[in-house]
Amino acid sequence: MDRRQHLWHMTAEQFAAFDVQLYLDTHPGDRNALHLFNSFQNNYQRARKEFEAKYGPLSADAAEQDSWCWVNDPWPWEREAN
Amino acid sequence: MFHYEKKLQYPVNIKRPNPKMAKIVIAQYGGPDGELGASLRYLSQRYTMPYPELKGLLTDIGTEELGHFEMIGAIVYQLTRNLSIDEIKASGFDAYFVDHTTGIYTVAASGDPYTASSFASKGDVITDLHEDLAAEQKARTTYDNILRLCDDPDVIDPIRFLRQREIIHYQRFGEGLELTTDRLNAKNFYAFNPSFDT
Repeated sequence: MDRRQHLWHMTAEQFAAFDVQLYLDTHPGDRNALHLFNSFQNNYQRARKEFEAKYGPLSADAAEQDSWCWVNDPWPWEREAN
Repeated sequence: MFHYEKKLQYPVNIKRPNPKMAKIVIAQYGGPDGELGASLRYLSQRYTMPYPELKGLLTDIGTEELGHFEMIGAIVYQLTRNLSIDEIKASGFDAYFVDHTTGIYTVAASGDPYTASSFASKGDVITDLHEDLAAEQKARTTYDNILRLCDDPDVIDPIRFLRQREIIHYQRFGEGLELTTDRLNAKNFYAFNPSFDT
């Protein structure tokens, strides 16, 4: 997977989890939806860990840093980041 | 508190700059039914929401709208890269250019700067949720209009994503309203505000 494919995969898992999150806000007792949320969330966390190890942190407070690569290009609004 | 995540909610990658299109899409950056107003509306209304589900829903949708504000900024930014003065003049982008160069600013497509009077925070859950339902439909209509005016698949793709989100939010706000009316005393016909009268 190149950076773009990796980003797409991670973004899809994160989006799926978030969409279920909104549903859970109005259906907090729905166990099936909660199960679905946990499964998307696990996939997302795994994909994010791999992405960050390869391409740098997605949050400034991500983890212990060897060098300050938070400021590195590309930033999300630039074509190269997408 | 808020944390920044260094990625867009949905990718924006536009190959061909198009300042004419930028002038249209900017409607959703600083226009009356745009993403800035959406995030301010929900993140302001949430304080007086009487039920925990609604505090969560408005926080989460308000936060998502900030991500949409960023996506629209990215679209406008990428549509206005590497322009020549001739392109700026021919596309009608010159009026925006003289005020902002290619800086991203919160204006409507008409050029009017963003105004907070385009949204309400009324402190009444029934009133606010109806405002939210209407707001999602107004934003959906604006995205439909943008799609009617747009022929670049690189722009159409993220705009379609944003349009779909308006429909999902409308659905969730509808459930929030149902949850609210179920809890209110059926005998008072809602002439009672659980955010204030308790």
